[in-house]
Amino acid sequence: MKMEKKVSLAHIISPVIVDNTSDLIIAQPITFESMPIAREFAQDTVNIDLFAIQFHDESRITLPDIFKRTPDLTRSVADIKTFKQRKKLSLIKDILDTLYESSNAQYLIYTNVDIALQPYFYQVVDMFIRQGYDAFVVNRRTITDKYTTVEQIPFMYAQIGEPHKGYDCFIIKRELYPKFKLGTICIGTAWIGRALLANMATYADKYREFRNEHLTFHIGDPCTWRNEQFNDYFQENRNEYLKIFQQLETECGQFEPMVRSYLLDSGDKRHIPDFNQYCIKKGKCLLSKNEA
Amino acid sequence: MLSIAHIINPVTVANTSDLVIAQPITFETMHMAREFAGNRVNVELYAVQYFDEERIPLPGSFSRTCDLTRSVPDVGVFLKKKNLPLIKDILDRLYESGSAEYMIYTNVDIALQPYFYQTVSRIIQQGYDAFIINRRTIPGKYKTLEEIPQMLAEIGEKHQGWDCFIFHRSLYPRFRLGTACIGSGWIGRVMITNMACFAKRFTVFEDLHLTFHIGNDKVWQDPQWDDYLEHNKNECRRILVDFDQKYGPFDRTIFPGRFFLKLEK
Repeated sequence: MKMEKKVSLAHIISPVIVDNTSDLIIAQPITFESMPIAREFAQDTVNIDLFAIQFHDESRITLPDIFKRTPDLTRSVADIKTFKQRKKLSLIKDILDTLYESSNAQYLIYTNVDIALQPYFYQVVDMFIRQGYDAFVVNRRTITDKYTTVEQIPFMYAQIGEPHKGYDCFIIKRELYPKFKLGTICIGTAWIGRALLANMATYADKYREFRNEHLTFHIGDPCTWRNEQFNDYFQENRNEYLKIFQQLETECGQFEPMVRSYLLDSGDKRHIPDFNQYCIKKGKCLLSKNEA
Repeated sequence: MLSIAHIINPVTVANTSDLVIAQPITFETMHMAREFAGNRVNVELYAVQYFDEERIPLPGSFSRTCDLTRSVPDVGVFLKKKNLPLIKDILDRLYESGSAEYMIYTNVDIALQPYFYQTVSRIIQQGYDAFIINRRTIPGKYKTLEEIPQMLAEIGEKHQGWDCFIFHRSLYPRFRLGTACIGSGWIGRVMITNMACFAKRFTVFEDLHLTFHIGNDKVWQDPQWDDYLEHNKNECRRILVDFDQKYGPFDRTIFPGRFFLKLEK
């Protein structure tokens, strides 16, 4: 019997030192616990390496042994641009460059550090890859914030939660990544998701947004990134995104109108393709040939 | 360590039955959930079949109980014969098979999330000695074991019926289940009547993502089997009236008292 070769995944998170007032005090340990669980659940079918990256001047956050530490981050967006208040937000390019250099895995995964995984996460990612998707996002479920400890993870898993419109889980075929244009866009505020989406939609042969699957979760929805005092980070990321968008269109041609709206518009103006029927291939909406 | 004994009743079915697809999924997910619980929860899996049925292949983690020797047409009169087991016979076999603290019965078309037993153990730690977990109904497009990961990831739809019953072993000897049978309506109400009456802390979890069912065929609602539904309804009535007299009167707005309103319809 011919054995299919296992897909290899490299998944990176960027844990941060936070004070007791941050929701990450609760979220990070849950993420750290859920990732190895999901890795072990998939071990017969998928090869998974877990990575963590921190700033060079941060003390080491305790992680399960299965995590590999990459070379440190040496700069934040506040080192290269001027803001009203300094906030050490990493550049997504630095994180993904480091992941790309740290692993030969066929697929790269980046998730926000407050995104926890259902046990079958990597198994389903593997299935999506085998369905031909070479870049995709998986939208989280936002669950109640009444569960806060690692011991309560089973309860967290069992929460249906609510769908979430934002983007925080990105899976990219390795060979696409060198083409990506990520400028100096940073994590921890808005427009980072769109920046990755725009690159994925530009370069992928089969991109999709998975909007309704129960694969990841986030505890509560404090939206701390919307804090007024860091508005300038929001604005700067938006400006940077628009530059990236223009770069992509200049290089690869204008996106089809539906895709353009998906990538540029907000709120009611935004057109989201029906991904049950369509995928995006190099900037165009195509009927999906996926029969699953 | 908490111990749980979980029984299902696999059946030999024609190729046209939805159970041809559902049963292997159930077997695999139960095995998976048991493995996932690891050494945190002691889980025993049981299957019971009829004495005259060919053995249905099961994962090695299942133990077979003594066979069933009768079905509801053996104790009642029905227009057409359908070999539906008595829930009492199934649960008696589970009770006699071991000494696990908690007993679980699920319909054979109910599949489990990997964390099912872990979450059940947490619920038990909260003090519930009897509870029901309502399933999610997922699209009927899934057919094979290889698709299980995608089935697990389906949010599905909420389902009103009851098909997953968990209760402390000590409650079971007091249960009165009459000759109510699985595979038809009112069996859930029979179980709830018993569980709600005898438990110190009973509830129905309507919104957890712990079990799922592929599609929503409702084969049991086929009018040709209406007399089985009527039989179960009558059994539920007898048990409810008896309990209401012995242990009630029951509040008609909560379980199990609110079933009186349903019985009057």
